[in-house]
Amino acid sequence: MIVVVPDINVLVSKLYADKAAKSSTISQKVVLHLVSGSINGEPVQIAMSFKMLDTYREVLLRKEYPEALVEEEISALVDMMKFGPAGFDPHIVLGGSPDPALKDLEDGGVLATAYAAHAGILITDNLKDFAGQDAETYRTSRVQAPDGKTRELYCVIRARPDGRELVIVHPADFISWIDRKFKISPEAIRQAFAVIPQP
Amino acid sequence: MAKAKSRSTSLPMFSLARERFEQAAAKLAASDGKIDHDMLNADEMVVVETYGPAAT
Repeated sequence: MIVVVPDINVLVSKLYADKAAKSSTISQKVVLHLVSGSINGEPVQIAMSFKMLDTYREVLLRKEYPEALVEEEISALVDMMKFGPAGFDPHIVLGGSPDPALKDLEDGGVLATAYAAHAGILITDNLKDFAGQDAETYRTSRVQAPDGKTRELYCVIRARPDGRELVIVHPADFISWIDRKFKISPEAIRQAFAVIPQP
Repeated sequence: MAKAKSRSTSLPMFSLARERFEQAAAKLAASDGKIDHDMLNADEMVVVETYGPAAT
């Protein structure tokens, strides 16, 4: 079983894509995999803290989505976590204390959640906020948006307090790797990709 | 983590929650909420080159 923390930006992007009547954007594919209950045959447990869900709620309300519907979706999300393969309870995490080494306090809370949940994968568009000291960074791919803009992607490996490791991956790489049946593990990433030296 | 013991996600409660999630998402998409077009654009990016195994 693998525990995956989807960052808020993944869920928000998915909603925007749904609303724009898109059918196969990156975030839509990520969420589809996560709610399917397994990834390439391996059971997957979604893990988010109530602090993260509060942030999700705030973003949607700011964008004028109806509060009752927002609560309905969050409630269902919590139940999916509780009834997932590991029976994750967001109350246990309590948001965690932000890691002062991270640039963004909100991202510190996300990382604390991933550590508390013993997550193996954190999926986020905000890679730069999770890189830096005490993290390994690997060059992974180049992506292009419909407007022609390109972006170099990388992934980050961080040691968890429990001695295991957490892979922090961009949603585009996550989908690309799942499609290619690339095993998302620190060992496989170290073997497959070139490390980016720390500045 | 509340419980370390692994169990199947085919449990009816998980399926029910997933159904509720998908229904709520559909209702949200049909509501009057706003879209961030920069995020939408970024969400439609495609991988044009990979630097690892099976590189394009």
